[in-house]
Amino acid sequence: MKKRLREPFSYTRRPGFVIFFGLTLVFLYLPILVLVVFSFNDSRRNIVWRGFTWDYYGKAVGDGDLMRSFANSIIIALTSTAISLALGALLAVLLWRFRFAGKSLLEALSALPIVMPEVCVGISLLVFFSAIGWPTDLPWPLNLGNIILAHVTFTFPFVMLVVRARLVGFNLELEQAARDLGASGAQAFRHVLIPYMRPGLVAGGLLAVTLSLDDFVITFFTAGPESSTFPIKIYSLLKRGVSPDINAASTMLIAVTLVLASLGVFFQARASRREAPLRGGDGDGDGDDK
Amino acid sequence: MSETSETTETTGTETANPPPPNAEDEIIRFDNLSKRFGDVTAVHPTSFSVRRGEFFALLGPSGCGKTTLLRMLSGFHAPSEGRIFIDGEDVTALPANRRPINMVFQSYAVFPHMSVGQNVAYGLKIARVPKDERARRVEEVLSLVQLNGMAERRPSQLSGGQQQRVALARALVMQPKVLLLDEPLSALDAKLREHMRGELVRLQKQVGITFIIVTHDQDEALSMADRVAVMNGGRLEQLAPPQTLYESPSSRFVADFIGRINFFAARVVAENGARVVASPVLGTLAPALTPPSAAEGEEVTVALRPEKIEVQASPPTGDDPRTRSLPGVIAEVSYYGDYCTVEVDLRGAEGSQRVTSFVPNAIRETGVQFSPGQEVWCAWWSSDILVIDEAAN
Repeated sequence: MKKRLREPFSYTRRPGFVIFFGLTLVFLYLPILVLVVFSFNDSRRNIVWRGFTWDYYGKAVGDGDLMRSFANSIIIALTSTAISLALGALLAVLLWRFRFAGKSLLEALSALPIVMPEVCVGISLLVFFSAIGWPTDLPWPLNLGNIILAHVTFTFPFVMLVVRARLVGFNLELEQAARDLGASGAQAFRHVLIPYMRPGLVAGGLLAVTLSLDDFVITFFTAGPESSTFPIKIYSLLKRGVSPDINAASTMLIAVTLVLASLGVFFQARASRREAPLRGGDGDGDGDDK
Repeated sequence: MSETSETTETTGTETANPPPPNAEDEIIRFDNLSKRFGDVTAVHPTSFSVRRGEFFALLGPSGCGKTTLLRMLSGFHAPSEGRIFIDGEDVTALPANRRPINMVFQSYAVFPHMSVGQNVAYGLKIARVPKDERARRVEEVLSLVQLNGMAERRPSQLSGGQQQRVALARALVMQPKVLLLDEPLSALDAKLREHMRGELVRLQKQVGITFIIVTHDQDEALSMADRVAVMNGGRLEQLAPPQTLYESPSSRFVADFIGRINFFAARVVAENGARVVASPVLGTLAPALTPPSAAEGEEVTVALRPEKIEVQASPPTGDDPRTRSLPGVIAEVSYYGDYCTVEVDLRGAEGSQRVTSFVPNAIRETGVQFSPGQEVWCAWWSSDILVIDEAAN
């Protein structure tokens, strides 16, 4: 038996790396940790730890305005994500599959909202909606319509990019195989292409939900008094001073985001685990072939 | 299969008339089929038939148009001109999903998100075959390709060879009139490839379905197929059983592409009132070898396969009029285990030329006893000389 060599990438054995890694974590997560911890602090003023309590969660949940804005956020996130998924996926397939005049222009234009400063997008949407005379007095939940449209404009490019990246690895023979076995074009799309895109759709969808849930700037410009979202509500509460129920509400938002992000990672990992040993063109055939 | 019927079919590609349709015998007929991609012609107008129940190979180097031809047959490319008949029915306008043929793709294209059983059942499900019958047929075909009990497996759990069997089963379960195989063995390692050749032939005999295999590997085509169509530059060069291709190639390309061969320059000349082929190295050939259509003064190609040249250490003693021999000097010997290639600088009447000969390593104790620089004699049967008349094609 040979003596086992020290693995080159075992960072934990080098104290320098451990410190560096630890500092990174502190830098990234200490503020959030403080926020979460103080949401359980039994004190009005939020500076000194006075003991554990769930009171402010009860208070936050009991706040009708806050809960209405939370519901608004959820409705906006789900609806805009559904629209973004359909739009983004179709655009991704279009750009991946076909060659046509102006394709690179369309490609660049559809990715532009990602880099556009949010303030500009927000103002342009505000001006746009008032210019076309978008009704401001619609009953709930129709009054969320313009925010939903605004969210679609900045979330669907992300869906498009993620799905497109996924499609690059698609083996066209899979679709041809389906056609060869009798499937119509629509059936092949449904039975082969969509299942293949699924990890991209899940990842893109979760990205869209998260982006929509915590968007402040663009929503701020498009929301009316009756259609404020959770982040905007929290901001308006802040004007009356930082109180633990804001911490509690924020912690709930963090929890929702965290769950969604973990789901995304889980689905991605499962998809790549399933496909990993599938041959693309280099089958080895050294398995059991009898 | 007579020699003459082969020739008729081969020359049929050059004339405008397709071979007379024989509904009993042919399962597929290409009628002046051609394909252009923009300015590039991938397949020039080509006509030939594939017989019912045969193992047919489309052979050629990459870019010769064999894959384009296969894709037109499967329905993934629309022909620029010409028609395709499957079992007497014109399918030229039918989309891929409505043609009674199925394909084993080069990448196997096994659906990664379905189990083996779901993969095989997919086509039957689309065709709305009742559940009971579906299950029965899937099980049957899985045991045919020796994947019994694998129905629940995921494709990612299978080896390359097993994935290929899934692709085979998935196509065979549809009971197609013709099974197309696109370079099916190219991704397997050498040992398994050898094994799968025999397996495919066995399977074809067992199910009785016409197989059309596309390959660039001549060994594969020769060892498996009943008939081989050799393509080059978008044209059909020759369509014949393997032995005819090898022993009587109709063009220099076919002679060169299949196996190894020695070429000699030659010309048709008049001698004693008869037209004979004369080569500076080989001398004058027997009048019987003169191609009937070759005019006097025309250049022809003379060829001789390496294994038909016998290298001898001493001058041939017997004076058999059916053999010829020439002296030479060995230039190079390469050892391959079961045989050696011996390169000999042949000294002819009016010139010399280097030829390759295969010398079998027949006796273990002596081995092959030739070395560079050695004076030797090369002998062959006169009837083994091939005269290829390019102008006749």
